[in-house]
Amino acid sequence: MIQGKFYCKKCYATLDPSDGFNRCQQCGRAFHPANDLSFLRRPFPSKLRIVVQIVGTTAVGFVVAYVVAMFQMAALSGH
Amino acid sequence: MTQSPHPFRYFADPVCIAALALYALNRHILKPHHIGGWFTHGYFNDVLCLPLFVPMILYAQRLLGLRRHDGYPRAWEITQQWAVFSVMFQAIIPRFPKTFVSAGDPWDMLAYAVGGVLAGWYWSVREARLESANQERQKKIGDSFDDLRRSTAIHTITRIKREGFPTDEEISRFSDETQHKVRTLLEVSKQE
Repeated sequence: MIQGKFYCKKCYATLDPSDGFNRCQQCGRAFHPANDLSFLRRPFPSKLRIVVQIVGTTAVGFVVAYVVAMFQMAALSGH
Repeated sequence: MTQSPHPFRYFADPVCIAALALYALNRHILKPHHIGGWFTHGYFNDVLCLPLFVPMILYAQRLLGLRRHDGYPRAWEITQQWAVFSVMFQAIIPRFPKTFVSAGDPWDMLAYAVGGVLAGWYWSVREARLESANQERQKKIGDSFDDLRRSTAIHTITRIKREGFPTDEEISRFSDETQHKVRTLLEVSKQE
C-alpha cells in the first residue's frame, strides 16, 4: 500500500504513483514508489543536497575570486 | 521547477557585457589618463566586480549542476558572492603579501555591495517586466481560445495569428496532422 505524498527529486512537483507511469508529469524523471531514494517526501531539497549546494556554490565563487586575484597580480606586475 | 520563457543569458546578459566594457574603459582610458580621480583608481573596478562575475559564477554553477534553473540571479546568490569576494580580498589575500598585491581596503566591500545592489535591482526589474509581459501574452492566448466554435474557427485563428502567436516553434510541437490543419487554415485566412 502506497502511503504519503511523493515529490520529484528534480523539479519538486507532486508525483502520482497511481497513474502507473512512474514518471514525473512535469519533468519526466522516473521514480519507483518502492524505492525511497527515487523520490522526496517533502517538496524541498534533501539536507545533503542543501549542504552540497552551499559548499559547491561557495567553492565556485572562491575559485573565480582566486583567478581574479591571479589576474590582478599579473596585470599589476606588467606580465 | 518550471523554466522561464525568458531565461537569464549569463555571459550574454547586458549587465555582464556592460560591466566588461566599463572595465576595459577604466583600465585602458580612464586610469591611464587620470580621469575620475580616486574613484576610478580605487573603486570603480570593485563596483563592477559583482555585475561582471556573478553571471560567470552562476554559469559555472549551472554547468556543474549546482544551479538547476536559468532564472535571473537571486538576492541570496548575489549576497553569497559578495561575501566570497569580501572574504577573499579582505581577509585571505592580504595575508599573502609576497604572492598577491592587495591593500585590503574595507571600503572595497562597500563598492562590491553597491555594484551588487545595482545589478540585482536591474535583474529583478527586468525579470518582473518579462514575467508581466509573459502573463499578458498568456492572457491573450487564453482569450483567443475562448468561445471556440467551428463556425468561428477561421476568425479565431486569424485573431491568434494577428497577435503573433503561436510561433512556428510552438506550432512544431503539435502533431503533423494538427500542424497541417493549422497551416491550411492560415492559408485560407490569408486568401480571405
